[in-house]
Amino acid sequence: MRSKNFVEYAILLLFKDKNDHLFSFLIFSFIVFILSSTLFISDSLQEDLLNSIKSQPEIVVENTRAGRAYAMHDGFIYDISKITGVSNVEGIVDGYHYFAQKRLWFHIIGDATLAKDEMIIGQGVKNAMAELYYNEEFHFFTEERMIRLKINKIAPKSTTIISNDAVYLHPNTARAVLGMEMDEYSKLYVSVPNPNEVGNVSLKIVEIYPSAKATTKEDAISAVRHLYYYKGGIFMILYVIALVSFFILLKNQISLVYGEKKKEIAILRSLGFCIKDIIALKFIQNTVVSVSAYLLGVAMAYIYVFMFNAPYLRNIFLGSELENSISFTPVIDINLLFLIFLFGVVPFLAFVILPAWKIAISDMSEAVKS
Amino acid sequence: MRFLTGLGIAFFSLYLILAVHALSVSDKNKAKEIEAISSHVKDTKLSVSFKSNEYQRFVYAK
Repeated sequence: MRSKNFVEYAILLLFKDKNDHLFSFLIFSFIVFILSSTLFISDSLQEDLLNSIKSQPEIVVENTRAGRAYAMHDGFIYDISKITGVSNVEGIVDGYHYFAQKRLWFHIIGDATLAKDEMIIGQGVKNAMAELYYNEEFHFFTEERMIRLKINKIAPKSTTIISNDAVYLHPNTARAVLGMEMDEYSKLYVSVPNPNEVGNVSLKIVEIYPSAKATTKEDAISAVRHLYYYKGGIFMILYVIALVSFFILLKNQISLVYGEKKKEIAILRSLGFCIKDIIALKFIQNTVVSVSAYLLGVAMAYIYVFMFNAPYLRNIFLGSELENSISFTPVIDINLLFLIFLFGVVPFLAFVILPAWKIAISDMSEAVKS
Repeated sequence: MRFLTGLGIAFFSLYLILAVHALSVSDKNKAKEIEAISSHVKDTKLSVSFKSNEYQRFVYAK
């Protein structure tokens, strides 16, 4: 155990060379801040999306023709409902409407709980419409006619993660807007009560309709988990590259500084400091710098993401074309923060202590003379 | 030592404020509202401006 005076002396030296330490402190804080912010946003989005697909049916069927989404008719519902294990098949209307004035796509979703002249819109859609003075009602321009609908309700702000670009309409109204026939569906929800039969049923559906795509609930959950998979693959490589470049920069800077400080270390050695003491001195100084930088980086990331809703950075995740007033739910993955600590602070200390040790074991008489 | 104590207290207070913020943000209401929408619109998707690059190309086609 080092004495109190030794620790105080280490801190005094830290202040003496504050300009040298400030550079590594700021850069390290910034790297931790960027890393933590990205992971906080992706974890928060993931959590809310996983919440939203809890009531998803066991299988969602979509049809394609020539590689594009294509409507299905009642024949699909009949055939699929005859498969053993299927308890119910429900046809859904869903598609995209091009809002030419603002060059945006609105996601039209059929909702059977709404009346024919009712419309619920997301916050982003509301703002886009309001810019062109569609405050009370909106005009959908289709190939055949203009459909005039009253804006009845705005989806709650807290649901913008799934409703920002959405326009909820009665299925028949949605068909009229999307130019679909009355017996056409964009998707089918297939209910399979026995979870063991889901895989088999989805295979049978694809067997009957080879152009159809059957997505199980499990597939949807893994898609959400991989939507912003910033913990693996290409992003992990980018993190590693960023950290390695930082450490190379740090090592160069430290070597340069320690080259100048050779005399100081030599004087300490001649005063009776052993190699262990020199390393302990540098360890205390750099632990204070790296741990403070880490704690500050994480705290700043929390404030930036969960208090200020990550301005600018959220546009990378959600796009900037349609204004998104999303509020991120605080989700903190302690394991991940520990991993950043392990891969950040430990190499930081290693890169700083190694040059100090190298100098401490060299010939001191030469260093004092120089 | 005084510096280390001061630093420790500063970080402790900062993290205490963050912990209070994390606990005070009620995500129960948010979860309820998201579940309420997803109970009748079951196949929910992340609401981003453009579903795919194809849509974006169309919008900015000259």
